[in-house]
Amino acid sequence: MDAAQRHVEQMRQTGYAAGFVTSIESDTVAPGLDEDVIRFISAKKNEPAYMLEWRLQAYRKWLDMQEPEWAHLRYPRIDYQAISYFSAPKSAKAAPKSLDEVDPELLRTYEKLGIPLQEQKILAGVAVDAVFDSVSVATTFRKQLADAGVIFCSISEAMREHPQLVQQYLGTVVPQADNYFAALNAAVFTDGTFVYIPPGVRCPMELSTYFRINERNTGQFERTLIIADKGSYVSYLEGCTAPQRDENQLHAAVVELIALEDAQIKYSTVQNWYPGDETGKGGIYNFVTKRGLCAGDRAKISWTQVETGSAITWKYPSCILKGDDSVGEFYSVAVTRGAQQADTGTKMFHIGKNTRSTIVSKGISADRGQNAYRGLVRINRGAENARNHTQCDSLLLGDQCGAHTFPYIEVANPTAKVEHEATTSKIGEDQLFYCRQRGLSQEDAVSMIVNGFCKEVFKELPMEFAVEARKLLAISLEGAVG
Amino acid sequence: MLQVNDLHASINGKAILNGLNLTIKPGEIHAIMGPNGSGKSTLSKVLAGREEYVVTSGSITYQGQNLLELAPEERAHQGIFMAFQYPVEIPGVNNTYFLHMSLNAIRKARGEPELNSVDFMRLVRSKLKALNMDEGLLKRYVNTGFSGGEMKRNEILQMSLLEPTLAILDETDSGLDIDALKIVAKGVNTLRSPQRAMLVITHYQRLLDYIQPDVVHVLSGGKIIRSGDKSLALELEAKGYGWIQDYQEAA
Amino acid sequence: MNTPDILHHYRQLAADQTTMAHDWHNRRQLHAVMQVQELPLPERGQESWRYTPLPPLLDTAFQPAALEQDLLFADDIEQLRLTPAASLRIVLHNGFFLPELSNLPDDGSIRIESLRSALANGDKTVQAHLGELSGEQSHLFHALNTAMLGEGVYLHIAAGAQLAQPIEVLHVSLSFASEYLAQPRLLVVVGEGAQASIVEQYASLADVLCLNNTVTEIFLHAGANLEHSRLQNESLRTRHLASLYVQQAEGSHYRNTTLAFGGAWSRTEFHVRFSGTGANCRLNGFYLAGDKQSHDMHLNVVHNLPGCSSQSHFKGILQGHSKAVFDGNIEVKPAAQKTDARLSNANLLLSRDAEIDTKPRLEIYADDVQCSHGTTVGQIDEEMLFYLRSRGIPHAQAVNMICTGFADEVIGTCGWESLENLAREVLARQLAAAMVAGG
Ligand SMILES: Nc1ncnc2c1ncn2[C@@H]1O[C@H](COP(=O)(O)OP(=O)(O)OP(=O)(O)O)[C@@H](O)[C@H]1O
Ligand SMILES: [Mg+2]
Repeated sequence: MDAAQRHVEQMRQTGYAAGFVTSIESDTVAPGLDEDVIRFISAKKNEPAYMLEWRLQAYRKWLDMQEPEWAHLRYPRIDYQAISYFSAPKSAKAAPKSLDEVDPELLRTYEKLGIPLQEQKILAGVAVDAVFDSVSVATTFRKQLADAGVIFCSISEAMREHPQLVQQYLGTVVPQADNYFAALNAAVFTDGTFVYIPPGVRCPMELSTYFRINERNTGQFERTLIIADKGSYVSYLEGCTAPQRDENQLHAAVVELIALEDAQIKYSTVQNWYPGDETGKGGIYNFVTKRGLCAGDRAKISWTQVETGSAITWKYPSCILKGDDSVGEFYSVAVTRGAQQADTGTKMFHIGKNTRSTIVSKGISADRGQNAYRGLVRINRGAENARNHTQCDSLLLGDQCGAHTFPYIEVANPTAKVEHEATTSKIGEDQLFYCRQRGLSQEDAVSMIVNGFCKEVFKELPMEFAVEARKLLAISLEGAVG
Repeated sequence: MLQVNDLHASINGKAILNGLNLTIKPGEIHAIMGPNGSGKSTLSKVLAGREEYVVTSGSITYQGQNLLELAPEERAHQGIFMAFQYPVEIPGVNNTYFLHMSLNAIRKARGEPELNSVDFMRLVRSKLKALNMDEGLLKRYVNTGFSGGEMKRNEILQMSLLEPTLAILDETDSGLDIDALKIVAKGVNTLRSPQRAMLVITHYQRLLDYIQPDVVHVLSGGKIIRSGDKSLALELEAKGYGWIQDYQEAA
Repeated sequence: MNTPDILHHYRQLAADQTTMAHDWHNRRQLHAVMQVQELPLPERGQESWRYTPLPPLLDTAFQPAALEQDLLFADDIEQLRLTPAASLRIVLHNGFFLPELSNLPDDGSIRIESLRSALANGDKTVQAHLGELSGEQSHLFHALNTAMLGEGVYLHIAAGAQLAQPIEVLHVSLSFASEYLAQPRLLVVVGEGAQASIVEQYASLADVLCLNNTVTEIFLHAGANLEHSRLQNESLRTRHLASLYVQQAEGSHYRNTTLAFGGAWSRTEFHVRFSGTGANCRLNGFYLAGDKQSHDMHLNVVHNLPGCSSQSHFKGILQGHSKAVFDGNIEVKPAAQKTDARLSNANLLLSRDAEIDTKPRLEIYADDVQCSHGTTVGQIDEEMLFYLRSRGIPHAQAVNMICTGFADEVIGTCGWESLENLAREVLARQLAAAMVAGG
C-alpha cells in the first residue's frame, strides 16, 4: 500500500469533529411548502408587506422551474415537501439584545465549534454574527461597528431598520428567479447577514458569520447582502457546520455583493457542513448561489473558499465586472472524500474596459470523492483589454476518485487576453523522493506537497482563517496532511 | 554617429531615464555598466524603438537624423541592431527563414540585391563557421526552447549576418560559457571597423578583456553618472558601484 | 422551411430507404433509419451544440445529390491531386465513389472497393465494422449518413503492409444542382503491424450551396500505424460536417492533422477510443475563419483502457466577421491508469467582429494519470512583433509571419509536403486578402 492509499484509509476512519447535536427547544414549522408557509415565515419575522409580496412572487416562479441537471452530481431527488422551512431556537424568538440574553446552551454550542461569542474571548478584530438554523442569534461588536458607520446585522433586522437599502439592492445581483435554488431561497429565506459599509470607510475589523444547522429535517436558507459604498473596504468571513445526521439536509443560500466605485469586498468561506458518512449516508446538500457585482469603476471583489464539507456542493461564486478597471478574483480549495461530490467554480463576466480576473482552483479528491471545476469566462464585445488567467489543478489521492474540469471560455473582443491552464495528477514521485532525500518522512512530504498545492489559495485567506483552513484540511485529509 | 541629449523616458508612467547624455563616434566601442534596474535595457530598447517606452523629453540623433521619428524596422534598415537581453520565443517560425527574411529586408532597404536561398545558406554557413557555431540552431523555431546560451549565440549570429552600423549588445555575455564568450567577442571584433560603432552593456569586466572599449560609462538612476576609460571597469569590478554613488552624493 | 419541416424532411429521406430493395442492408443501417426517426435536430440546449451556429446547417432542406455523369474529368483530378499521378487514389464526386477516375491497387495488400459491393459479397469485416463506432452517441446527421449509405468506400490495408506512398482520398464537390446533400462514407481498416498514410482533400470546383455530411470510421489493429492528413478547402457556400471515428488496438499509432480553411460553416468531430493498451493518438488541427465563416472542432477522446496516450493540439486564427468553436473532451475511465492525455488550444483573434468559444474539458476517473490542458485567446504578441520589426521586417509582413508561424506548427505536422504547401498557399492568400480588407 503506498502512502496516499494509507492516508485515504486513515481518513475513512476519521470522524466529523463538528458532528454533535445541541439539545435546545425550538420552534419548528411542520414540513411542507405552500404559500401559507411563506406567509407564516414572513409573519414570524415581522416583515414589511413588500417582502411578503416579493417572496410570493419568487415562489410562484419557482413552481414553474426545473431542478438543474447539468452538474456533474448524482443524488436522489429532493423531496421539497419533506423539509421544514423554519426552525428557531425558542429562547431566541425575540432577537437577543445582548449576549446575556442568548441561551447559554447555544453559547456552549458555538464554543464547542471554536467560535466563542463572549466578547472578552473573541479574537481581536473579528465581529461575529451567528446563525443557528434559521435565525441570527447574536451579533458581536455592534457598538464599535456602529461608530464607524458600518451596518452589520441580521437581514431580518435590516429589512425593518434599513428598508430603503434592502429594497434598493436585494435581488439586484441574484434576481428572484435566477435559478431553481435561488428562487427557492427568495421564497423561504429565513435569515442571514446584512452589511453596509459607508463611502470611504475601511471596515475596522473582519466581519464574520457562522452558520449552523441543528434541527432535524430542516433546511437552511439564508440570504446575505453586502454593500460596499464608494471607496470602502470590507473583509467578510463565513463559516458553516452541521450535526452528524443520517438524513440529508438542504442548504440553499444566496449571497449578493455590491461593490461601488473604488470599493473592495473580500469574501472568504470555510465550508465544513457535515459531509455524510463514508458510505454516502447523510450530509448536507449545499446548493448555493453567490454573485458579486463590481458596479463602479475600479471596484474589486475577491472570493476565497475552502470547501471541505457537504455531501453535495453546487456553488459558483461569480463576478460581474461592469465597472471599468474592475477586478474579480476566485480562489478555491475543494476537498472531496468518502462519497462527497462537488461541482464548483466561478463565472467571470467581463463587461467594462480593462477588467481583470484571476481564477485559481485547487481540487483534491480522495476515496470515491468526485470533484468538478466548472467555470465560465465571458469577455463581452465592449470589454476592451480584458484579462483573465485561470489555473485549475487537481490532485488525486486514491484510485476510485474523480477530478473533472469543465471550463467555458467565450471571447468577443480581440484585445482580450485569456489564458487557461489545467493539470491533473497524483502526487509526483519525483517530488516525494526529493523531500525524502532531504530527510522528511513520507507523511510529512505528502502534507508539505498538499499544502504547497493549496498555498496560492490559503495565502488569500485572512490570517485567523488561514490557520483554521489548514487545520480543517489536515482533519479532512487526516494522515495525508497531518 | 549617435548623439543622445538629455533623454527622459518612462514606462507605464514610471520615469526610468532621467536626463541621459551619450555621444558615440564612428569606430568607437562604448561599454555601459551599472546596477540592476538602472535603466540599461531601457536605453537599448529606446534606441531600438520599443513603443512601450515613452520618450518624455530630450533627443536622439543618429547619423544626422532624428532617430525618434523612425519605426523599429526603419532603424534596423539604417543599421541599428540590438542583441536582446531576453530574446523572445517565436514558436512556429523557422530560424533560417526568419534570418533570411530579416537579411533581405535590410538589404533591400540599403538598395542591395536580395539573396536567394542558395546564396543565403552559403552566407549563413560561412558565418556559422567563422563563429564556431552549430548548424542545429537554424532548423529550430526562433529561440523556442533555446537555452540561455543558445539564445545569445543566436543573437550574435544575427548580428554578424546583418552587419549593423551601430550594434547594441544588452548583456549578451550573461549566462555564457567561456567558449561562447569568445564567440561573442569574435563576432564583435570581426565587425569592428572605422565606420561602425558598438554599445556594449555588461556587468562583467571579463567581456571587456576580449572587447577593448574606448569609453566605459556607469549608468545609475537613469543617467550616466561617470565615464572613463577601461580602467573604470576594473575599478568597478574591484569596488562595486557604491563608491561612485557616494562620490556622486559628495560632489 | 421551419424546423419541424426540416426534421420531417430528413426523417422522410431515411424512411424512404426502407422502401428500396436493398439486399445489402445490414442491421446497423436499419437501426440508423430508426434512429433518424427518433433523434431531434441539433439544438443549442445540447451540450455539444452549445456554441455551434445552427442556421447554416438547419435552414435548408438539402436534397440528396444524384450521380451526375460526365461532369468530372481526369483533367480535374490531375489539377487537384496532391500525390504523384501513379499513387493510389480514391476519388469521390459529391460523395459518390468514382472507380474510373480513381487509381486502384493491383496487388493484394491493399483493397479499395465500394462498401456496397463489399456488403453484397458478405464481407465479414465490413459487416462487423460498418457503423460500429458511428452508431454510438449519434446525432441526427451521423444516423442519416448511415441510413442513406450509398456506394461508400472501403479501404483495407493488409496486416504487415508497409506503404511507401500515401493513399490519396479526393472529395470533389461539383454539381449543376444547388442545395444538395453529399454524404461520403469511408471505412478504413489497417491490419496488424501495417503502416500507411492517407492524404485527404475536400475541394470544390463550383461554388454552390450544399451540405457535405461525411462519416469516416477507422480501425487500427495491433501495432498499426496510420498517418492521416486532411485539408478542407471547399467553396465559401459549402456547409461541411465531418465526423471521424477511430478505434485503436494495442500499440497502434494514429496521427491526424486536420486543416479547416473553406466552407461557410464547418464542423469536424473526432471520436477516439481504444481497444488495446499502449496506443498513441495525436490529433492536430488548424482552423482559419475568415469573414463570414465559422469553424467548429469537437474532440471526444475516451481513454477507456490503461497505458494509452493522446496529444491534441488545436490552433485557430479568426479574421473579419467570423466565429470559431473548440470543444475538446477528454475522458479517462476508471480502468485507464497510466493515461497520458494532453490537450491544448490557442487562438489568435485578429478582428473586432470575431468570436471564439472554447471549452477544453477533462473528465478523469483514474488517479495514476498525467492530464493537462491549456487554452489561450489573444492578439498577436507585441513583443514578437517588435522583435521582427527591429530586424527590419515591415509591420504587415511581420504580422503575416507571426500568423504563418503560428499556423505552421500545425500545418507542418501533415508529413506530406504538397499538402502542406497547398495549405500554406491558401493561408497566405487569405491572410493577404484580410490585410487588404483591413482586418
Ligand atoms: N514594463 C515595465 N513596467 C514597469 N517597470 C518597468 C518595466 N520595464 C522596466 N521597468 C523598470 O525599469 C527599471 C529599469 O529597467 P531596465 O530593464 O532598464 O534595467 P537594467 O539596467 O537593464 O537592469 P539589469 O541589470 O537587470 O538588466 C527597473 O526598475 C524595471 O523594473
Ligand atoms: Mg537589463
